[in-house]
Amino acid sequence: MRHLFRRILFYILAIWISVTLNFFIPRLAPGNPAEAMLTRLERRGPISPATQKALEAAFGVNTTDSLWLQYGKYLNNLLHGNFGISYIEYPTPVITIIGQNIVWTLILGAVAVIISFALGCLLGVIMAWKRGSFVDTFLAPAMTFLSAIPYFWLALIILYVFGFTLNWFPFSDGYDTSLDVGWNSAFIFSAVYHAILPALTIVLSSIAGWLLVMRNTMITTLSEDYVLMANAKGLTKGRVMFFYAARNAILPNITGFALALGTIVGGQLLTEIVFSYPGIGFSLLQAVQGQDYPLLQAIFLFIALAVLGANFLADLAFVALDPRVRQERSA
Amino acid sequence: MAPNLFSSIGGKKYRVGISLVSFLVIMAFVVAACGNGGSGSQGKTDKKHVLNIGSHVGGDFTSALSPYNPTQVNEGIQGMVYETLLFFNRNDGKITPLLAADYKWSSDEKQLTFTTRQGVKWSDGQPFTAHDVAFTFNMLKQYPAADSKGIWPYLSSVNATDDNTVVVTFQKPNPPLLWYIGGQTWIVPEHIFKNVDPTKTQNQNPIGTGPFTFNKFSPQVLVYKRNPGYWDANDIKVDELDYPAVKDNATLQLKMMQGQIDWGSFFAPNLDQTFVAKDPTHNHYWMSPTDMFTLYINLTKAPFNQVEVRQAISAALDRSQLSQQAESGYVAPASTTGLILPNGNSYLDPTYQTVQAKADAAKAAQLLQSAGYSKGSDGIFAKNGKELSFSIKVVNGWTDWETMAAVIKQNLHNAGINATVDDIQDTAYFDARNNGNFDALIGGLFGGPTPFYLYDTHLNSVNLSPKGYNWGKWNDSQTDKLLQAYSSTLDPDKQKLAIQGLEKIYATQLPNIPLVNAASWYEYSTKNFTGWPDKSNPYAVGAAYAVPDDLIVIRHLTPVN
Repeated sequence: MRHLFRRILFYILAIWISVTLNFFIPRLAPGNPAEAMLTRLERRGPISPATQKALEAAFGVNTTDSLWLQYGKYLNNLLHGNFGISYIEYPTPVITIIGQNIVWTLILGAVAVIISFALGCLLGVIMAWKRGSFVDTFLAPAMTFLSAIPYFWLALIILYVFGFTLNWFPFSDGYDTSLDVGWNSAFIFSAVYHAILPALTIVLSSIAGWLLVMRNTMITTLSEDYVLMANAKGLTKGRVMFFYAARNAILPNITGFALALGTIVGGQLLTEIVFSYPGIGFSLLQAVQGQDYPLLQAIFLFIALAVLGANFLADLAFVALDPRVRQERSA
Repeated sequence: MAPNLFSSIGGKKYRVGISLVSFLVIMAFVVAACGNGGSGSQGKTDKKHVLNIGSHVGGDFTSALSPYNPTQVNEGIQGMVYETLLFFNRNDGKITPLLAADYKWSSDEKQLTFTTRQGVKWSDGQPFTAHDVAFTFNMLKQYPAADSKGIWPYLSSVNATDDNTVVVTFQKPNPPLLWYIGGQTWIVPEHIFKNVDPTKTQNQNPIGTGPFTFNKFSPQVLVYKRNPGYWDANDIKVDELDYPAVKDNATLQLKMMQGQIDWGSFFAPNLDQTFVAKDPTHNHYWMSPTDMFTLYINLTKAPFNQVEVRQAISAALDRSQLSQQAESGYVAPASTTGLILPNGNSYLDPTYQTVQAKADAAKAAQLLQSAGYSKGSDGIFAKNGKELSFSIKVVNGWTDWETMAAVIKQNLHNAGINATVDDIQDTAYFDARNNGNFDALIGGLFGGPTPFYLYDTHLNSVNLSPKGYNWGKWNDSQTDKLLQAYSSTLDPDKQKLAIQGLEKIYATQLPNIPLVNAASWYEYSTKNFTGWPDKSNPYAVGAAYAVPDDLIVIRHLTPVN
């Protein structure tokens, strides 16, 4: 119990620090949101000074409140779940923007990470089991090669070849925008169809990490006495491979997996940019460029919560998977 | 095999994972089998003529359907739904009546009378009258945030004297204000806007007089349908407008090349090769020069307060190189008179006919010597032991400006001036520009239907930054007097004389150093629609974001077949 209590205290402290940084860091940048907004409007011609005043008033950036008072108000609003109104998409509430985008990010990210993790671990187990075979000697360097390609470049090439030149897949958007969003087959089909290329690039670029870690830990585990013992008992090959060796070898990857799930919320920034895919990463970029404090703060808060939450889950998963941790705790 | 591994972790996750994997694999096969069939929006074969417009580059759409939302107004609201009284063609200065059938100045130029068009209806069926016009202007008075062009400081009242007449009364004569009053004010219905703040209202169901009505909002696309009750319905041949949200210029260009977008507005280098050559019969662009790029110099600082230094910098520039390398030759080198040519040709003082396109290092050297500079051993001019050296700020990621800055740096170096490029983030740039924290920076000069607007916006001492757009801080009584002379008369000869006086000041004093013209970016495809504005028929500025030019363009378009 004391362990758990300590962990929770740690998480609360971490959240407070991230919330505080969220508030101060964006405000250190030069300029203010009203100026940033005016620059967007400038392409339609000059704008009277009155408009800038009005924007500043609307955004509440011309306030005479001290920074500390603003910080207090910000914390108070957060506690009440009030994230405010976005500047760049004024007057849409921040929560609506996040709601619109996070679905895309979560589905694409989760599917891609799960596929990548599952495939990577599975291949890693097989490669370690058949160490020195053709699969092992060929796949390991091939995967390393793939993951060494800078992600944006890989994505651009795939987009250009499959999306633009061959025209097999769409090269932008999350769905065919002439369709209505909803639970109808046309929309779902279109959404899946649009997700294939982005998901493929994420899997291709991340699979090697899972695979190599899994393979290397598995090799160490395979030389353990209990694996020898299991083999000696005459257990089936599959049982030894997965229940005895893989179960122990997967521990480092579980931590990685939990962290990867946590970072999904932050969005697949490059993927979303290259494929013009809707999502939280692109919103974040826009928010930074437009000095949209409320949107920035909210997105960062969600990312922090997701990462910490994932960490917590990883802690729990370890307890379930690794008896040693369990015993230490109860001791 | 796989089941064992995952069931040891937890059966649920495994099942979800595997079913997702198999689902995706199956989908991939299905899609591959479909081949090319599934993409694009050309599937609409039933004679509905849909125009796809790529004017929104950036994030998702916000439901901002009031034409007076101060942050951003959705594409199509201004022009397609809400109209102005008049249309000013910035290419040639011609004025076309829209909601106003006619307008007249009183002899003392203090009263402007509009006669509104008869038989116009709002899209909800209510009649449009002069009272709506008067209401709109008085609404701007009540909500100054909506008055983004700053009209009211110059007006005393706006009244509808009957159903078809609106009288605008000025505090003192100011005829150039007609552009903002007639050409940039969106007339809204009194019965809808009576009790709302136009800058805050969501205006979910916009009611306008324009040729289109708002049909569907989604964060990714805006859809407009033809308004059958439009006062000039016979001229509208387009049935539907789709404005997709496109995330960046590169994607927009790809979409245009695949025919998913008919009308675009973006900058991309080398369009001849990357865009036009792919389909020379249909793919076109026309970069109508509407504004200007200039090198702002901080006139409050040495050495720029010396006119010879400014002239030397100007002489050292190779403007044709700037035009070719930075703007792919889309726009011509700028005239140092501040006139956007050829649009302003009729105002041009013949003395300044030639635009200095090539660098003249000898002249620059001579000018610097006359200012007391001498060349040091490293080839850089210096005065009192201080080298002639300054920094040029540009916005990081605005590639045409970055290229310009690099060319300028090299040009100046050839002439013995040491310039460094300070490539900064956009917000930092605007902060520096608006507050005068710079040596030099590349910036824009906004044009208008006549050359007056550029001079007034950027040189008038009432517009000194940070209040206005006079970022170089040019404060000159002679300039102010000429601007006053122009804006207090309707006599075209007197106006021309004032403009020519301003040209002379610009060319000799160089309040800033014009570089190249700036265009309203405009690309279009004649595959589905014809009748686009172009160089031979410049009836409007082509950029899809130019308002109310978008309205004029839509009235000219005809579907193919």
